[in-house]
Amino acid sequence: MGRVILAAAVVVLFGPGIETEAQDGTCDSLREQWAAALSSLQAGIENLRRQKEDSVAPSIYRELASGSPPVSIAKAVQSALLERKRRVDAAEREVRALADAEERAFRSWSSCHASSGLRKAVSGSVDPRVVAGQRQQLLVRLDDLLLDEAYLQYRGTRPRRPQEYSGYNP
Amino acid sequence: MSTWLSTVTEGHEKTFFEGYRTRGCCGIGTACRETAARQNRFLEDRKATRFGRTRATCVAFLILSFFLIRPASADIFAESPPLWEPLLWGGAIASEPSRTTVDLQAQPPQVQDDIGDPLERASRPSAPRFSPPPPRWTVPTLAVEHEDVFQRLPYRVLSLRNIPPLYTSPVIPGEGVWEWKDMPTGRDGWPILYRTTYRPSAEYPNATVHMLLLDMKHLTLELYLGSTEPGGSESTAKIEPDRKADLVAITNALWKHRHSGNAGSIYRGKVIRELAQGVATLVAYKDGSVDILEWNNTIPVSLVNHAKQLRHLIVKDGQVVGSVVQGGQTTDSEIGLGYLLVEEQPSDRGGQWGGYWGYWGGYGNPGPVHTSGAEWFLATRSAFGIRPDGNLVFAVGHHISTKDLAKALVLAGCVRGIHGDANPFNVLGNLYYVDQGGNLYKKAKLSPDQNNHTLTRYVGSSYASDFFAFFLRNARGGAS
Repeated sequence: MGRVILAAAVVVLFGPGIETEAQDGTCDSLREQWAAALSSLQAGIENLRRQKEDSVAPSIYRELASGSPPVSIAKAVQSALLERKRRVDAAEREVRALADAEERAFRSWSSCHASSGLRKAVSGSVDPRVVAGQRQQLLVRLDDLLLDEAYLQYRGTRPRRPQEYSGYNP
Repeated sequence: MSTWLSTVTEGHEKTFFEGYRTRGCCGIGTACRETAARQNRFLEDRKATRFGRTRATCVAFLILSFFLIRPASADIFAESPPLWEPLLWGGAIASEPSRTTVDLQAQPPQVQDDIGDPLERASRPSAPRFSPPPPRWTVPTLAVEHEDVFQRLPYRVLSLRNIPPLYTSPVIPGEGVWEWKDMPTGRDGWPILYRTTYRPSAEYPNATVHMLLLDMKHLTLELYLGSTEPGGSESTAKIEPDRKADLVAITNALWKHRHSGNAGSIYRGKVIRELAQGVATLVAYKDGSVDILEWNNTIPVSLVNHAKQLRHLIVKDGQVVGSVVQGGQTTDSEIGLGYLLVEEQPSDRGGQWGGYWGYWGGYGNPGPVHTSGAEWFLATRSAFGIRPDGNLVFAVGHHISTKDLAKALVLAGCVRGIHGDANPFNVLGNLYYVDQGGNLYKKAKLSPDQNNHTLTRYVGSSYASDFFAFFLRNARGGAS
């Protein structure tokens, strides 16, 4: 009987603590998974940026030099732009998939951290809210990169409403 | 024409199109999909409904349709099946369209031109073929199958796909039919310009577009800077006397610099203002080829002869651009000038401007009004489109939205398009006829509703705004 009481006391005293440590271990694992996903996303964003900034000039000159019969400049430029579009589209698809993966990983880690929130001080684990700001900056950068280049010119403007076209009086 | 236009606008147009859509003929892509969805639901319901009830529904539907379709005034707008509509949204044409009729007796023998987009090629198998004419001068003759029009191919009549009219009544003679008779020609009488008129709008039957197709194998485009525009002067703002003999057409350019935001321009290889990334650009390269594209800052500027930019493409990948992203929001793609957009139409709001504008031509008093309210976008506009064969289409539209003007360009085979200048005072397509001696003996307007005074500009006197001039190329391919 004394052993039973002792066992019960052990469970009462140390049981939740064991669970917390196990959960913290899981959260740490999820955090590492998110960190890896974030790193992949950063690499994807960098790749997309590079693809967008890569010059089409070499491709144009190559096309103009190798075209047989010679091609027009308009055609060489379109050919180079089409090739660039293929590369950028592929990079965009990749980075969107990476962003989705990062989002999932971050949510998993956040929910794990929240469920063990009462014990986070004990475990000493990293709070997702600490990295949220940095993460947001990265996502804003991603949004900018994913914006159609044709509409960069409208980034700082807002759409007009029909009632604003009020005839001669501006 | 204006009487008819105003009647249509104010009268029965809405009733007519409600009837039109009730019958399942779609005006726009979204409406088409919605109609299809409604039809599907209708079919499913019908299976689950007893026969008698269905019959009663049909009878009621027919009676309702009769009243909805019936026009409210004497004007009747019968429309042909919208064969072309799927093209606008990326589909295939529904059936074989009609083709340009050419009088073989009056003109040199013609050859079907294999240059062009796949749709054109696909739609011509039954057309008769002719032997190409003997070369008029010693230029290299290349394989016809080669798609690059800037190779020096001999003159030929382009085989252009006519556009089935959306409206068959009231009839506009030759609507949608590409014609080159009575147009300026090459030095040996071969066609270099084609024109047609078309009403592209399912919502505004009085929106009329006059289009000019320029055979860029034999033409070269030059930008002239208006005398009050950046980089411009008296000398950059008029046609040089020694080039008049090769002049065939002049069109307006894009908006004035001060209204164009961050748009850039290049004039005769000199950067007037840096071209902006992603902005819609009409460009003429140094080899005479032309294009319309979203500018990329890594394209070597050294290849560019002329360039002008404005906003966003209105046709992209062969389709009308229906929406754009502004400030993070997806919004309508209509292009306006704010309170500066005007349209000539009968209105008691013309007031103080009526006399002045009436003096200069157009529809007459009271002249243009500044557009406003829900239909602020209906105006006199122009646009340029580029076809896959490298030929340029210039379009002048009256009482038209950006999207309907873009639709006309798509129907003309364009894969990319850019908005041109707007407003009756600025929009023009002038045709110039030169005799064998190089003397200019006639000028004509592309649009009958174009202001008469626009014909007096450019030749012999300078003009304040930018414009484009099209000249015959010489035998070596460059401008004469």
